[in-house]
Amino acid sequence: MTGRTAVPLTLPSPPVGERDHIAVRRPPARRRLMPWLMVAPMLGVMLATTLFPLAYSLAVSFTRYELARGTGWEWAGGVNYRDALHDPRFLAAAVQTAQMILPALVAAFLVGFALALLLNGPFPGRALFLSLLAVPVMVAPTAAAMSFALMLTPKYGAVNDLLSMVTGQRVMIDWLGSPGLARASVAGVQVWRWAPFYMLILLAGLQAIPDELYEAGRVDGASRRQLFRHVTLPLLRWPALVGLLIGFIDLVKLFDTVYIMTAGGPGGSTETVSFYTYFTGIRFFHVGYGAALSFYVLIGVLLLCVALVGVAARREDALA
Amino acid sequence: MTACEWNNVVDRRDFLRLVAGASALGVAADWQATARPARAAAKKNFGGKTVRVAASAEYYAVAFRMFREQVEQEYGLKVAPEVIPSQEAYQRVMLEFASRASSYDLVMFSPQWLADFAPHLEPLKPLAEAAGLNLHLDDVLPAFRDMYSTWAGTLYAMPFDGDLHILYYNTAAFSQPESQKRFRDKYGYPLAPPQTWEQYRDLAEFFTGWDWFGDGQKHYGAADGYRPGRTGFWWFMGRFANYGGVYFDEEMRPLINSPNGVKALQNMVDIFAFAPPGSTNFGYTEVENALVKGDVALSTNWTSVARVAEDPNRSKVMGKIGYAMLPGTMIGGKLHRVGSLASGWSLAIPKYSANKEGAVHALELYTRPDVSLKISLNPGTGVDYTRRSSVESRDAGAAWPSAPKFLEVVKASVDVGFPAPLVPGAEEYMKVGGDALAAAVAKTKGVKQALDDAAREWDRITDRLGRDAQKQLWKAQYDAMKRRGLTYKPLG
Repeated sequence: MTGRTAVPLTLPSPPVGERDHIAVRRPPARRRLMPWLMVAPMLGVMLATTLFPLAYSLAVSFTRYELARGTGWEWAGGVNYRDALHDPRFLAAAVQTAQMILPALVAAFLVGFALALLLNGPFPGRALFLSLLAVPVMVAPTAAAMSFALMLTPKYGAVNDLLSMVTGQRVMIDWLGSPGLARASVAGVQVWRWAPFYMLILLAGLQAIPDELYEAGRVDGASRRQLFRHVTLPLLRWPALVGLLIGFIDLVKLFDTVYIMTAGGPGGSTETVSFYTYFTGIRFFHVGYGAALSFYVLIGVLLLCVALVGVAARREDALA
Repeated sequence: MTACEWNNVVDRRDFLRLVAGASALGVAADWQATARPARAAAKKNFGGKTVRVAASAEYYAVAFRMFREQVEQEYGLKVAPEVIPSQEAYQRVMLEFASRASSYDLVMFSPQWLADFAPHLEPLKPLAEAAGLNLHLDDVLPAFRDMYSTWAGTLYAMPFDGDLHILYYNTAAFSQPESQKRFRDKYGYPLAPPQTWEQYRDLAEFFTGWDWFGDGQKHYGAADGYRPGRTGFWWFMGRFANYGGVYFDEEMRPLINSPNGVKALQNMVDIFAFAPPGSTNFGYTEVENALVKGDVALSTNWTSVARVAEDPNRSKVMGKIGYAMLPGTMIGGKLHRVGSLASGWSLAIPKYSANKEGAVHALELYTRPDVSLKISLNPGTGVDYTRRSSVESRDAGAAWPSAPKFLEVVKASVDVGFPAPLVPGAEEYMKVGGDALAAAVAKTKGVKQALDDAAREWDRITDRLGRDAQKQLWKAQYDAMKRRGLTYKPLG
């Protein structure tokens, strides 16, 4: 009823006897439509760019649509989803994606957090350091992947040259030549890309914590460690969670680095779900099957995001 | 001759005859002079219409720009090349074709896509005949003409870049008497360019880890391409063909995991131990660099590398590179040795082009024998010979001192050239094959396991595309191969 009582506030005051009657009267249709008309352009754009493609690809995922063959929409039911669960390359790609992005996410977060703590206090040149450390966020992922591919070349790459200078002997590590090292190299590039992002987001979180809380803690005799544990960490929970969610969603889409640095090799060991889905749906035009693969990825991301938010919310409730 | 002497020799009657003859010649010359402009005027003029060309690399765009003025002068056509990176070319063009459209009037494509593209391409012969153009098909090297331009008996494309793989070897490595003695002592046969893949392995092993080049550095045996996907497949294809393999049997059952496939892949895995570091990601450019920087004694790669090896600005091995056909295999006591028609690029006209007539005129000019030769001789284009007149031309033979030997190898390789799979879905079959190679080399799978998995994936692709239709189309390709003597050679 609160909504209805709000209506008379915008109208001229009616005579006392009619007030109840007017309170339930609906505003004219034109007036009711106005808010919808105002947001209609944005809704239209959202429908066209998000909801329609999503619904379209969901429908396609239940067909045997082969773009190169011109087969059209031949109904396939859940065959594509069933086949995906028996597709060894897709399952291997899912495992490999996790093997690369989870360590990368954790490492990037920790490095970013450490940098944020270092930059939280005032010191000469802080602004310069901050700007320089944020550079990887501004570099296009494709350009970064190309640069790293060159730097990791065994014979002429900068990384081996640097190691040779440090160790005093010729180092010739084939960074992209074995499955383990290749996965580590791809993950390393993600750490380089994402650590500055976490640094910025956590630094903003740190700067937003009121000094009064630390002062109150110190008055109560809390040590620096206790202040960190009971003031800093709880208040960084939500910025950290938002950062982790953004990072996680982006890393699941890991494609450009793999495409440029390793082409999914060696031996398919760096093939990610996005890479495999791209080849299936876009390169070879198995559109129906590719759409089903992408929905598995979407469902996986959604479930993990919901789980992550749920855990954080439960911890928040427990603390409250 | 003096005037008196002249008078003695030529009497009046003769003089009149001479004058009459000269007049006749003059009239004839005048007719020719008028006839020539008349014929030129008969050439179609398109009044500045544009022919949009999809070029699959910048160096191909260079080739189109080389003759842009000539196309405009002869036909009044403006040529506008647009570069689509070769790795993206298939899906970019196919995506347009699938929607029954094309932004281009001439598309450049790799012949293994011909089966997929053919329904969207304009048959060339009727177009050329209607325009009165001669495509000089008799001059095109038969393997390129018959297998890479024609689909189901219809000519859809003209070869533009005649790619194939050959063997390169650094003669500096082979010429030292001490090396020759050490090699004979160790392997029991003379040090010479390899005839078989087993010899290639021995040589790769022999030349690994010591300074045979005299520059104070340790060198490697052999550079080949091992990058996953289609790239690696080109190198596997050369081995597979020379081990007597073909892609499928008559019933469309994959033969990639046949004993021939296993031996071919095992050979690559064995040789990988003698390749430069980073070879898991080697493709054309990296393999070329390894050879021209003097890092390796042996290499197999595309023919365009020969020109780079003789370029003083890019090569440390100028004048030191020898050429041979890809090594073969002894099968039934005989050396089985074939060329590998790895990729290549052809030009075709999409059905959906709005300027087909202009496109066929531009295509005719760019594939003309003299133009084709000039494009191939320009080191900036990366275009290889497609015409017999080119490989037999004096200019090609004089391009660098060892060019005649190179041209002999090219001719011999093309004559017994083994093609890529040309059935629909070839791109996907090849990616799976290349991925199997990469998995075996990285030791994430054993050789047999990698090929068995690839065979299963090939079956899945065949089923998805329709087994019966694929079987018929493979039969058409295999029949064409058989006519050229390329059949499956069981190894037992």
